[in-house]
Amino acid sequence: MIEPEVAFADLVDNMDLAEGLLKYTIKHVVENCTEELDFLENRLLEEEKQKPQHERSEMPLKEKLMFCLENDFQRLTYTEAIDILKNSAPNKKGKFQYPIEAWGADLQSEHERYLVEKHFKKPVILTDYPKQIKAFYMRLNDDNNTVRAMDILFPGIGEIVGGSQREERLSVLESRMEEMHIPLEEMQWFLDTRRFGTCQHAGFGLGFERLVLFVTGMTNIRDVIPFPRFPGSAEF
Amino acid sequence: MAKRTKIKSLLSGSLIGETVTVMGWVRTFRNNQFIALNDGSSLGNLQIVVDFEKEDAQKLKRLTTSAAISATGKLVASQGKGQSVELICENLEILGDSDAEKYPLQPKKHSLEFLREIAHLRFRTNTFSAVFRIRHHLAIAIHQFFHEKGFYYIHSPIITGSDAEGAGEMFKVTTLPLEGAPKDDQGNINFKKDFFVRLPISPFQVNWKQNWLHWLLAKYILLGLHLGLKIQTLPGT
Repeated sequence: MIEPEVAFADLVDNMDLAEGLLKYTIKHVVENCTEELDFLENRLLEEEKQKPQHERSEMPLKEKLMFCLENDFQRLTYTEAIDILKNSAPNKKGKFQYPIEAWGADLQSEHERYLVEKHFKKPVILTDYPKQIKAFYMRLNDDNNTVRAMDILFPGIGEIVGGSQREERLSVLESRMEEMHIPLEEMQWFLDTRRFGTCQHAGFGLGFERLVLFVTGMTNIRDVIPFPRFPGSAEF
Repeated sequence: MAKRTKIKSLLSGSLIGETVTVMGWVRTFRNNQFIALNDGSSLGNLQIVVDFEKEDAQKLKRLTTSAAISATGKLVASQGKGQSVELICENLEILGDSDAEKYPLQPKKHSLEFLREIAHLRFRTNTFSAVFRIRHHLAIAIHQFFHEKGFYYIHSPIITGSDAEGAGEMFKVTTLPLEGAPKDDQGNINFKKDFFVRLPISPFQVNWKQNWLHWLLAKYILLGLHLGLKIQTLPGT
């Protein structure tokens, strides 16, 4: 897990950092692992021949990586995304397994992939989610309804990065915790960071194995962990 | 032991004409003449040409799949198709035999499910060696990126007092003996005697079932602000 926390940064700094990180790492692999990517792309194409048409991926492996390198990530708010999804053809034709009806719903992978692969045709960063579906420590916007969250959405897999500008105001944080029934007495160590020299800050999380899955085109997380442990298997 | 040259650097062709020593594991040995050798440094194998008229026949029989060998000879541009360079073997040594009857990986396509059961050997396949070389490059690139930007890298704890996303249902950490654990008045195990004193309930377990990672995210803020530094943590923890 990669989890940068950046003091004195806002959400825009956070998005720039995350987009920069993803592009830097993917570019590094494209430049240093040409043989490996060729091999894995062919392997994947062979494997996909066995699958029915609708299960095959939209893009071959290297094209998918270039798609993330060559495009500026499209940035828009959750509210704007909901409007697009509500009026989208698959929503109107009932093609989504989870139809988009109202503002406030959490997005499913099918919605995220629609935005990336069909609508914008580039990686997407959604911001300013409803506070109900995000964690208490994300900074509350002036509308009192949304928080300064961001999710980065990639082709094929949906969310790859999740982060936010954090709530640095002690009183707002405390009332958000009360609202969400978080026992404040256990969280004093956390609140101390807001009592003593609080400042604007932001951060995000990137699942390392998720990134390896994306870049190698493998589908099972157990195949990108050197010695995977799962129930009944910890021999090594 | 002679200085070893990695196959990755030989395949680039810049050492043509030099006498080098390579070490690796036999992928295939065909026509009693051509060894395909892999040492894990690259996806590509190095072709080693053996003079079977001069070589000890008993030694050639030991060139089975996955035997470890050392070969010294001159690197030349290859006459054959499928490779740009090859090594004309002058000295061949078997370092470690591999019983072909018992070696689980045959030179054919195995399913990923089967390979998962022999995860300690799957690094020797093309697919997994490629995946894990890429994994390495991703880890290096992440560190490089943050280091260049002036971030500091903090090793965060793996064991925490928080039971997030129900992970505690599968994993419990205790220093108490499973048999003869200290009991309280009611006869229940007294976890107050434990090294890790249990939290009664985690706020994150109640509210963040969807994304337990947010717990970790929240945690590092402490360090970030306390130290006044930008920090990032290790991939894979």
